[in-house]
Amino acid sequence: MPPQIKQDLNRSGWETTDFPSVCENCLPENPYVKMLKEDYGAECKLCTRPFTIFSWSGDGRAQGRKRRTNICLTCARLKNACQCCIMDLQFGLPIVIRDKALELIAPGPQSEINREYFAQNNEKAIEEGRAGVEEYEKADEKARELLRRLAQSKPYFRKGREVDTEGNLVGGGSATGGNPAVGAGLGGPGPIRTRDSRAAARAGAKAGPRKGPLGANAPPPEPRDWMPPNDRNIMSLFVTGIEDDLPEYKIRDFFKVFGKIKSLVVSHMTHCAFVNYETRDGAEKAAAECKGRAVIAGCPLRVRWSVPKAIGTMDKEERTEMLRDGRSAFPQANRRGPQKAIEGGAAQGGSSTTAEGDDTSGLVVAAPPGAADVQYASLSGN
Amino acid sequence: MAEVETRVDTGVAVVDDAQDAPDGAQELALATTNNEVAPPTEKKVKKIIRRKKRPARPQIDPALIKSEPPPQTGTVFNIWYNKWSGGDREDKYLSQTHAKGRCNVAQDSGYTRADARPGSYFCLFFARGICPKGQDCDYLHRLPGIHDIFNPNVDCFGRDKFSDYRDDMGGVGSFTRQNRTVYIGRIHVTDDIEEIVARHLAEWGQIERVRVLNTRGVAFVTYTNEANAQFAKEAMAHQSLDHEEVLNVRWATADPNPMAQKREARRIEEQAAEAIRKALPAEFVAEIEGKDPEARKRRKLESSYGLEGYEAPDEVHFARGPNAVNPRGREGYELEHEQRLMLEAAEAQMVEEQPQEQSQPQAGGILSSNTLAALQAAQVSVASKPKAPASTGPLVAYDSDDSD
Repeated sequence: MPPQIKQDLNRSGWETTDFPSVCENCLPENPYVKMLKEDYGAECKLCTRPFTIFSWSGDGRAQGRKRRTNICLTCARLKNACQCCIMDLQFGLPIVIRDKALELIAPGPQSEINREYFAQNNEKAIEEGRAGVEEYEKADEKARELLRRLAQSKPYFRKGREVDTEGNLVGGGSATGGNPAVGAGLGGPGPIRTRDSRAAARAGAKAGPRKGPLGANAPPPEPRDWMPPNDRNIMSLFVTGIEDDLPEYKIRDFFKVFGKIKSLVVSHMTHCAFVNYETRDGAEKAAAECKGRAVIAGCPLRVRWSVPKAIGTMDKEERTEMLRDGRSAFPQANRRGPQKAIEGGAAQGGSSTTAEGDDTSGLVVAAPPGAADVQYASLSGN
Repeated sequence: MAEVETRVDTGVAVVDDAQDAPDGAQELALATTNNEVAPPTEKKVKKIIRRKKRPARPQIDPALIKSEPPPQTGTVFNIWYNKWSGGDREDKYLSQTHAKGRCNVAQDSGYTRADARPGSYFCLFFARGICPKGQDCDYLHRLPGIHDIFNPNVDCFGRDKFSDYRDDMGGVGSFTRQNRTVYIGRIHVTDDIEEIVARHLAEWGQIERVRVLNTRGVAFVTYTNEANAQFAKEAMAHQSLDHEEVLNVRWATADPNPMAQKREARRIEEQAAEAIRKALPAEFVAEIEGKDPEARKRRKLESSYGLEGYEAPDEVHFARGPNAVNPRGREGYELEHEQRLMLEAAEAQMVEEQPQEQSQPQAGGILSSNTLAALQAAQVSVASKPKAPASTGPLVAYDSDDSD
């Protein structure tokens, strides 16, 4: 390290270190690592000050690629992160996610000169032992808090699960800790949501039934609704009732078992989707299987035949109509209160047989996409 | 190509199925032979595709590659970036040229040399549809999946990310935000624009949501996986959809819609919780989340540590580390602790002050008098801290007292 540089006032904030702070994952297996060190080799990616870079070759890594430190030691300490991969040292999370989820420290300033100043001040504070790591001692506590909070705030599709009559958990599929934010959880279909789930309330469904073009109080689907139309060119199904958190790929997974999908247009804003099949057979099969209704990840949907058209141009009235229209396919779910509405035990056990067999049993839980592979002679005949 | 291969295999699969079928199913299978067996074979086909890997196909002929500067779109040619710069701002977008190739995932993907090496990155040229190397490429030639997770400082092509986005939101992107949404502009406006966008963008991975501004020729596509968004951004840049447009593909800025922000916050929390669940011992997680009905009782019994009426606070009860009070908190640390000592023995000659520094927490481990540790709550909460350095090994410990 050239010592005179520190005397230069403009360079007083520059950082020299003798050792990097990196996580185990970034280092090779061999504990004796050969590293190259370069003083003021690059600017820190966070605070833009020059810092000492270390580079080494990670073994077993592709392309013999060198690994190097990306942020300065001060920033790494402030963020409690690895200098190389910028992951949290404690939980191995990207620091962006950790800071947002655990809310440990406020993110530093955004503008360039401010960041430099911020880092320089903190460097001094760390040297004097005033600042630094003590916020991260709370990380454990915050982590526990987060787990508790998430465990208590039930995602919409698990709501009321405890209120089951038998008192035991229903529906093994999504009980495995689904990821509600990604949409509707991991496993199979959960119990369907009821009208007063949050999303519906947001969309204004509680404003009372209104008569629209499709009819919010449309009767439950009848056989003539899912009979294939005479025009052989129609190979698309129109799905309504799609909620904001139902991801597109779940819908695709559900409908692709019937035949190859040419395209799937999902508009979460208008709560509806078009499933365009490549062949008429696929569309016919899907319509016959669904019988005008479907439940994907707890979201009740109504399925119709249709010709694709632009759906991004609906007004607000029409959009909420689409949401309620999807629910209208499930009269039972609507009539029961929010507490009792979820009760999927019986249908779950019987899986697809009960769900597809008779309409009167009330399709509380749709057949999981995999189960739809089972074909019945009566359905596939002719 | 995949379909041709698998069609041969389905014949075998059908035979298999008929033999393996349980008695009840066999009757049905006999009743209607062909239609009955069809759906299970579909399942088989899927499996076969996964097992049967084929080499990646060179996307363009290497003989056709010409090394000439791109058509002049600016006033200054930068030989380092092989790009034109400068010129009039007005026709910046109009002067964009169409991409040379387009990736066809179904046809082009396959194994390359990179598949044998863990931690390989995806081939940028494969994404752009212009990789001439085929199976000799050192990068992956396939679509990113949900298990392809890269460090936050690089994208899926191994390029270093920056702390800020470029002003035009192009380029590699930033590591300060997890961006899974791609902005696509300059789409030719037609009536079926939504269908066109959905069809083309679904090629590059699992889509979470698509938002199309019908009249403006703009779309926002959110993928479930960040790597897929990165791949899609490269794959769709300067491409055209069904018409002769040249797309303008950028990173999307954060959605200002409050509902979208709530959704994103929830997702981030879930992601953090997932990592925390992995990091904590399973018993702790079950206890914290209230999944273990016995936990409450057990804690009452155990955490008094011999003191009448005392119950250890959370910091003590859930503390982890080699000298944690709760035996479950020590799990996994015993071994690591020993390993560390072995390493230290090797390094002891080189560094003198290190044994002193390490001896302090070690003394706590030797004492391990539960009551004493429980009463000194403050000390234990500090002891919960060393797990970060503990996981990083002796190197960090050495660093911490040397660089001050």
